[in-house]
Amino acid sequence: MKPARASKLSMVEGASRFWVALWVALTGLLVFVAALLIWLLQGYQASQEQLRVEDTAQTLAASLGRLLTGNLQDVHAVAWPDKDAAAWPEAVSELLKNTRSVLRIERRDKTLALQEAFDSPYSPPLFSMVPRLRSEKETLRACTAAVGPGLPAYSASYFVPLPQGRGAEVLDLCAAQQVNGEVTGFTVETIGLSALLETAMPEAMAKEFEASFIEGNATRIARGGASHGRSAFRAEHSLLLPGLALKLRLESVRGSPPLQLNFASASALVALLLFMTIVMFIVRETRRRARESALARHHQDVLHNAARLATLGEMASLISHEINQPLLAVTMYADAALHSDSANVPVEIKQLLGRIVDEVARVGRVVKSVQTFVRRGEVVHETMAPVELLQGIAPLLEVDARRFEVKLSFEIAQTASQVVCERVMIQQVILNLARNAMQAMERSTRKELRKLRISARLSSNGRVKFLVTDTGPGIPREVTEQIDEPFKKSASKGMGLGLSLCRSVIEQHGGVLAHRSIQCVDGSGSHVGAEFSFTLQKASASEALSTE
Amino acid sequence: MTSQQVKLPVVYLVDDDDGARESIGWMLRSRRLLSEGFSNAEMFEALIDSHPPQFGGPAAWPNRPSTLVLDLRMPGTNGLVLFDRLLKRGVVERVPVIFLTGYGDVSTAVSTVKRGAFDFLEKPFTAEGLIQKIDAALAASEAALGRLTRQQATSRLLQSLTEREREVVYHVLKGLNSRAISDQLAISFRTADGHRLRAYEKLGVGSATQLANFMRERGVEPSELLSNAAKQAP
Repeated sequence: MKPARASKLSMVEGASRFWVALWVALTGLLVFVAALLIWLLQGYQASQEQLRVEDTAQTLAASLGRLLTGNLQDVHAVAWPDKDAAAWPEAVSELLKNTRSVLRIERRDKTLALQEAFDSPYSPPLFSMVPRLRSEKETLRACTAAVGPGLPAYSASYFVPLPQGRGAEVLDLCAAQQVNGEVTGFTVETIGLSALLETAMPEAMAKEFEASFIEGNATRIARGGASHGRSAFRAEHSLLLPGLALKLRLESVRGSPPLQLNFASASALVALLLFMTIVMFIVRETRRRARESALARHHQDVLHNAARLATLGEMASLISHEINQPLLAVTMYADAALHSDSANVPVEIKQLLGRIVDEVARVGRVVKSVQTFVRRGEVVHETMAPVELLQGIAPLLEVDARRFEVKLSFEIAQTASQVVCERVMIQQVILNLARNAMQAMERSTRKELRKLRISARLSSNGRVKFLVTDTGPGIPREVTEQIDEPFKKSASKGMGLGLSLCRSVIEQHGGVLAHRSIQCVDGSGSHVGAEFSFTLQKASASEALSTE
Repeated sequence: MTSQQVKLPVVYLVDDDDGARESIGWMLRSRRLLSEGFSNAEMFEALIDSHPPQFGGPAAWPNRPSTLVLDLRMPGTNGLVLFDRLLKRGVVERVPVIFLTGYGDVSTAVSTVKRGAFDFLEKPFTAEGLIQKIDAALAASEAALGRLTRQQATSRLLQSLTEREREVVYHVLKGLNSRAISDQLAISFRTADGHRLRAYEKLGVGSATQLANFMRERGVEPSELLSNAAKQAP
């Protein structure tokens, strides 16, 4: 016995370990899914941001291109002021006023010697700190490039220091004036790159992005827009101009979002948590139900076994009653014959009659010993409250009620005091009566009308009365007959026998199993029904006290 | 009184089982005992109801020593229910009830004995066993009937006294002499003594001692005399 128990115990332990592992796995999986979800969400947002930056960079590059093209046209415009030198300063100052990115315009002769220069009114004069000659090399190269194709050309960018420690990265745009293939002079326009960016960026863009020009070695040479761009999202775009390649970089002011818990990821997390809660709730509920039904089954088994034994004893009592009746008659008749004093009865006959009496007495003893054998347990009468009695079988009744779709109710009056009874037998009687009622209703009554009430109350004769009332078809005649005479007619469905056992049990408790068909009226109209009732002895005050 | 004692005792049998009932009837007849069988409780009650109680006279039923042999288990009204009804009618003393029970019913039977049933007998039983119990029950019935008859005779005698005579007898039983009684009742000594002598004559006693014995034998409390007087006063 012991090893088997030990192995069972380890099995239980193994099972619990299995469950723990399963739970850990499930939790791990959920955490992983949560992380993955957030990561994907943030990745998606990052890529959205990146796309926006790239889009904006393209737009900015385009508008820069447009601006620079405009500059070219402007240079052309001022390069040929109808050879009227007097009109030139006016045209140039007009241009400088309208175009902020142009910082200076020079007019040079065909030897590139400076003839005239105008500075933008929006910035300090460019070459106030350093002489123009410092950057002459770049200008020369641009102008040389411009001579060939006859199109204006850009110089490489260069830095011009300005007063108060500032400076500007600029580039020159040189256009050659040609008359019949002869170069007659040059117009040089100096363009500030920062100013160019500021002009090209609309206000909305400038708030969110920092734009800059960079050289091949990633040195930032000019910037515009917001001052605090982060490198988390950035896009680069090349600007190809005649004689010049510029690289434009655009950076978003938004940092990378890993720690940014926004609405979407928060709701994803909450949804996951909810999901987990629901899963746990379902698991718990399932386990609770399983436990409950196991308990009910166990309870049913116990009750069943006890009932089977008790029923066997009850059967024996019933059968022996039926046997004893004729036995009694035989004894009495034989005795009557034995004692009849008519003189003409031979002595021999009287002896034989005496034998009959003895033998019948022997049969009686046999019946009695069978009874004693079957019903070996001592009958235990307990004192208990009707509630207690019904609670023991309520789970079973509820299971049946669900199965037969019957509305079950209990009504235990305050006056129903403690009773003395053999618990299992009385419970069995109530179960039997209730089941009969439910089966009868299932056969004949509409679902919504099926009602079963089990009630207990103080009876007028000082006993406690139990009633089982249904809304079924009432009690058929053959059932009543079988209750009274279980062996006279063959019991067709065991119901008659069951009921006569119930009757037998109740009578042993000093009560009567009464039954009647009833007419009841309630909210759903009037209908028939059956009512079975019996009474049990009330516990005396001292007995009731001793159990409390 | 004498005519009642001559009457033969009778055994009533209430059992739904024809075989049992008739065979017991036969057995009793072989022992020279009168019996009457009923197949259900209602028929037996009909017999009782056919003898309405007579006012003032002897109880109409039973007018002879009787006993009831009652089967515990019966369809319809079972033995217990009938027994309860008999208890209510107050006849179980004069008609002692012997229950016939099956094996499983012993505890029930015991409880009925506690409540006033005469005895019970577990089936199957022998004729001798039953006869013994019936004899004992009939003896008990006879005694009960005798008690009842004496009681009725006593109450008839007491009824024959006048109110004043009963008062005087009450005071005699309390130990007062005629003079004290006359003071107590505020009547003359002669009148009081006259009441006393007439009462002695009616009750058939010759002295205060005999009067006291008469009352004790019949179980009459002195106070009953006064309460009767009080009842008759209005």
